[in-house]
Amino acid sequence: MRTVFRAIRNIYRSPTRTILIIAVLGLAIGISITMQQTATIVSATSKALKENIQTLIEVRAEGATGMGRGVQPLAEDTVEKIEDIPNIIGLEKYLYVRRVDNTKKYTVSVISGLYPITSELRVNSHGEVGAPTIVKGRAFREDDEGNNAAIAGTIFAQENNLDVGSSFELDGETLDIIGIFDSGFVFGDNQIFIPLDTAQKFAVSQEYIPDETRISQIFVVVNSVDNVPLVEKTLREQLDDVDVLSGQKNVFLASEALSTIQRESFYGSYFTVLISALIIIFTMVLIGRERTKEIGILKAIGASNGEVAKQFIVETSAIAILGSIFGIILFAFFAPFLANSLLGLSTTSLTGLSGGMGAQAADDILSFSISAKVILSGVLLGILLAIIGSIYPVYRAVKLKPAEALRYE
Amino acid sequence: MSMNKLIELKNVSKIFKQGDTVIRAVDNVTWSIEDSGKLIAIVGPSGSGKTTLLNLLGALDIPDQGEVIIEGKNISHFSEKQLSEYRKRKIGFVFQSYNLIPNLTALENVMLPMEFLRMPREQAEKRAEELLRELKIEHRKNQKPPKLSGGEQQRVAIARALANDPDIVLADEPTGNLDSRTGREIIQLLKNLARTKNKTVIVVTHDEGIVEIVDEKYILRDGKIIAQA
Ligand SMILES: Nc1ncnc2c1ncn2[C@@H]1O[C@H](COP(=O)(O)OP(=O)(O)OP(=O)(O)O)[C@@H](O)[C@H]1O
Ligand SMILES: [Mg+2]
Repeated sequence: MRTVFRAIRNIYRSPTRTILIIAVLGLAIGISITMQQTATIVSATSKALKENIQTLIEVRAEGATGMGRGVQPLAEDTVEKIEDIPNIIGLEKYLYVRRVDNTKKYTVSVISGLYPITSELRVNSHGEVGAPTIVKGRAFREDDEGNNAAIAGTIFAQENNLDVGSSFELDGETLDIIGIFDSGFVFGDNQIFIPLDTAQKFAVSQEYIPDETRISQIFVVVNSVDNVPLVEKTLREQLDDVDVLSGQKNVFLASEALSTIQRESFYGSYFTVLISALIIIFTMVLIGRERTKEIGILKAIGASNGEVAKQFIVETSAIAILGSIFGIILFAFFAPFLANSLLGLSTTSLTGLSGGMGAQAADDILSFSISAKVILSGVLLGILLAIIGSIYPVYRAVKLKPAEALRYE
Repeated sequence: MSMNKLIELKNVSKIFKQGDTVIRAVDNVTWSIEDSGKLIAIVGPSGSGKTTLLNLLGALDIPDQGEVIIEGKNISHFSEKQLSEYRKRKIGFVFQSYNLIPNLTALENVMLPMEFLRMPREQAEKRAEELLRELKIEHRKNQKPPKLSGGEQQRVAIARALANDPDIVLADEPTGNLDSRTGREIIQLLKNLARTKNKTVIVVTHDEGIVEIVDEKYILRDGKIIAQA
């Protein structure tokens, strides 16, 4: 116990040096933790990105953008052609039918058929593909397939006096309203989602499409992010008169950028651990040499190798732990700032592209702060550094012959 | 009083190689140290092997040839642990440059050997204070060595050398850094200690003035004991 006490007192022996070392060590450890955290967060974010957005490719009739300019249906054989392309694991089919009613305040509404029923509610409004939220009732479930369930936008519901539980008559079909959505776009909200076949029947009756197989838009689900460019290319080659939008090109780029950040942070954190290790090794080598004579004295007056070793281990540990604490404090202090500058850019672009994912990334940034995990990694780093830093002085102190140590000046 | 052999040297040599030159720092020395309560001086010119001989006596070093026998055992066969046990229990060292630990107070320096002996703290502190009082330096007990004069530091160092109640005190030029008056005081102190505490005190010196005070004197030249007086 007294050895421990003496060892800790040793770090006061040259306060300036100790402070300097702890500062440099703390900085390195702080950066290392930051990078570790960055890598973890970015990894989670880009994984979520890849899973949710990147694997989708949008196919629609050439020039068809939003209801403002009308939504033309795709050619009859489009779906068959797409189904033959490898690496596609799913299709989300949509048919957007314009309905004009001059008696209403908003004259143009959109009847949107979708299949499978659980496909994303893609609001077709001025080319915007937003992410509407259910504000009342519920979203579609798999067991809604085959039943005439419908989810209306807030404006559509208002214009047609609909609410959850009420029903909506469409060309002889009765649709049960199970939910109300809101997208924030007025035109987008003057829209109702219904099963695709019901929409197709209605569209035929309106002479909007020639037969009941037609759709206006397909979202192709690709099996992996990496295959998106290939599938996109094949789609362009195989299909005429369509627009192929791997709409999330920007997301793809953002994701690439995130991977780069992740990779660099990952290696960066290792690099800074290496730097910290070198700092502490260098320091302890220096201290070990400086104390050569003292080791001789201690051995001469009866200290065992164990006691000398213990003293160095405790001293190194104290320095390493102080460095870690300082590193954690630095991290806590600068993390929000770093988070903003490091992830802020990509997050902003993500938010712009897709509300859901942007929010996800933004949420993750909140976790870029002091946590048990951060403290744990700081402490583990400190222990690691203490071990690394002790090796040489302990080895040397044990090997050192007292007679030689005493001759050392 | 009975005269036990504390240490026996039998044809002991210590050889250093520096490049091509081989130095027999201690050359075929046969000698034994008894618990005589005497102050013994080893004198000789610089490089004659005085420090090397002292290191062998104090088990700070082991010989290249011959045997150093402690309590009937050859220390060449000792483990590191046994060597440090021997130093811890039987030997007290005093050095020319005092060699106090600079960031510990005088009192703490004196307590250090007792810490290694696992003596309870309070007991160690009490004993350290007593020793400092005997050496007339108690009033400086809370000072750190850099604040003390050479003579004061050497008194603290002697107190530290006595802390483990050793059989032998080995002092390597303890007066080398002191003025002659202080030096003589320190030697007188060591002589009194040898008497009153019945310790064998071996002092290395090349100060002729000191030699007059000692009980026995050995002259060392080129690693050999050439005379005894
Ligand atoms: N570790 C060592 N390596 C090489 N040579 C050594 C070593 N220790 C001692 N020597 C040599 O052995 C000889 C005796 O050295 P030692 O220190 O014992 O002499 P000394 O009598 O104490 O001298 P001084 O009065 O200068 O202290 C010297 O020539 C010295 O250079
Ligand atoms: Mg010498």
